[in-house]
Amino acid sequence: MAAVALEGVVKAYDGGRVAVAGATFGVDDAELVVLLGPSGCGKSTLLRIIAGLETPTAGTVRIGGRVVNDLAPKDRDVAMVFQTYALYPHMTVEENLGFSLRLKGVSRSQRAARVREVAALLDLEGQLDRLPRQLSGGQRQRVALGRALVREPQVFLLDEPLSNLDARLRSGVRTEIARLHRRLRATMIYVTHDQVEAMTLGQRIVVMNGGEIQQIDTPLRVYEQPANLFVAGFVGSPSMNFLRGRLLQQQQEPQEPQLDLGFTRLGLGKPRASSLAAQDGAELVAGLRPEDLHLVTAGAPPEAGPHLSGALELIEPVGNETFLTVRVGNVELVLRTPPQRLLRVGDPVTLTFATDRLHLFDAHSGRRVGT
Amino acid sequence: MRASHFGWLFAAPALVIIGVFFFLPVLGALALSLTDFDLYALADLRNLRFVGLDNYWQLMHSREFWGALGNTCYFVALGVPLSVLASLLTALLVSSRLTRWPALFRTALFAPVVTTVVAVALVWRYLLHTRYGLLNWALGALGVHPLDWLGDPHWAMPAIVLFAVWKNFGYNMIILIAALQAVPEELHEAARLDGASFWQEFVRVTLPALRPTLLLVAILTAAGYFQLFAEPFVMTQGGPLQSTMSVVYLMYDQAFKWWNLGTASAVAFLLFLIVLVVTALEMRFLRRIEAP
Repeated sequence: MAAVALEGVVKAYDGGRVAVAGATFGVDDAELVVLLGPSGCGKSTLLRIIAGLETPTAGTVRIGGRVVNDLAPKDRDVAMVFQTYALYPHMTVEENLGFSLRLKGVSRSQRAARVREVAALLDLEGQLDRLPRQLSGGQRQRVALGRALVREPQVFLLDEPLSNLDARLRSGVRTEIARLHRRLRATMIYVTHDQVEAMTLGQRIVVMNGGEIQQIDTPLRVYEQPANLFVAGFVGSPSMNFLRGRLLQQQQEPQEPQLDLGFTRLGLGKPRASSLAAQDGAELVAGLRPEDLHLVTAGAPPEAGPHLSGALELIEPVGNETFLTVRVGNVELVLRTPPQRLLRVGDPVTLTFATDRLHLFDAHSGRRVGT
Repeated sequence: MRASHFGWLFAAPALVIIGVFFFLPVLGALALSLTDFDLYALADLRNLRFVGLDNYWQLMHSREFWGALGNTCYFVALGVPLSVLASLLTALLVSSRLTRWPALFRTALFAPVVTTVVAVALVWRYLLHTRYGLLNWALGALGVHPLDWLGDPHWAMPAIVLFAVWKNFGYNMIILIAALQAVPEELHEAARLDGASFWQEFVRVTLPALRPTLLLVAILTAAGYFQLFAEPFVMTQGGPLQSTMSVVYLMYDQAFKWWNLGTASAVAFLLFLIVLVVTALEMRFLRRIEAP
């Protein structure tokens, strides 16, 4: 296994389209890093550059300390699992698994032993004589994984490996991949647009958008400390609520900064006073996760913290919880609550939240401010 | 009951047309092949006699027929593999990512298919000319003595094969280009990551993916090549020494040179049976390969 390092990797196409605009990051030995982003953000291109299927316009790619820019894919010692699996349709499972070993000139008996080992690991022993078209989606997926495993490569590259599976299978294979990663202590780079996969699998997540890296962090920090508006909006479901306004510094006591939303003013909490001191009058966006918003029950003693009043617009029960959409002023806020039975659409509701759960971003640059 | 009646009604126009213009003539030819229909019968139908399988019997014992069949098989055996190979090579070249202006080449290479045999055969006669031909000039540059392509019984058929291959490869090329495009790009990428060289990738990934199409193309080409006629008709008139006399040419001679329409119909039917058997065998082979 080996570490992977990217330095200033750029991929620009003729005609000026830039797929990757300067990617610099490292993947440690035995680490599983997820490249996360919406489709067309350049994450797959980046993976293909590491695999050697695309040539970067600029920058260097290192695998195990060696610059591999000019190496052919087969000389990089990387294995890739394709979104479409790309199994050789005319070969049996056994031949598919053993193909790379056969090309390497590994003897028939050694090949068979290694194939059997991997087949056992992936529960494919009964399928060795079958053709890919005779397999179910999940089995094909496992063969694709197995084909990568057989080679014992330095680095595993996985390009949306679960996106062709149905939801039930997906979580099963996800667990499988996590298990394999732990067991093999393999270096893995995993591309997905699915944040659940990213959060559950990644030791670190590289969030990308428009060819640029937005944030590189552990899953929890990406969720709790999104570096900018894009990451804040992309990670989390339902996504973060945003309230745009102008920052007001209170001169008199209490010196709590406030956000003027137009229809109301939002207290941002005293602890932020110092970090926001220089930003008076700046346009900011306040972000609140749906689970950080709470309903104020009528009749209950008034809670501390800011209040927002509005009307209930939509109730979406999903079983174990309910999503409520509330119109406050000119914005809609979504909150996540335990199952609600008593509320009706149109009811007036009051929301509250803890000010330390607020995320603040500069409205123009999108960057996080005043942490 | 009623629905099926309507079904027949809808199918009727097509069935009538197929019946009148396809099955009727075939049946007519079959009937004709059992008679001694000739110039005398043409003059007065009372001269027509039913001879049973006599025409077939005669053909089975005619050196001309076996010679023509041998020539045709020679043409098919040499022409089909060469045609398919030429189609495959050009399809690969045109589909290559390194090829500039693929549309231009695709069109240019397809052009021979849409030209008329007679017109281009005249050009080829000139290309194959013993003294002034381009082919002999090129061979001369390599130090090979000029060949009398169309005048030498050993070389006349190969010359015709060369011409037919040139004339026909473009059609199969288009089919194979489509088949090549149907091979997912990821398969090639997976092979390259698995460590396949260019040649290994071709033999182990591209070729197996093309196999059903290659066989289909071979079957269609063979069925067409068994009906060899226009090329020798224009270029060699079946000569020299009957070396380019094909089965269909023999049929043509019997019918429109000697007016032995009965014999000609028998030739046509025998060829039909041969093509049927060969195609059936090929189809069987194809099916076995496609569904193991």
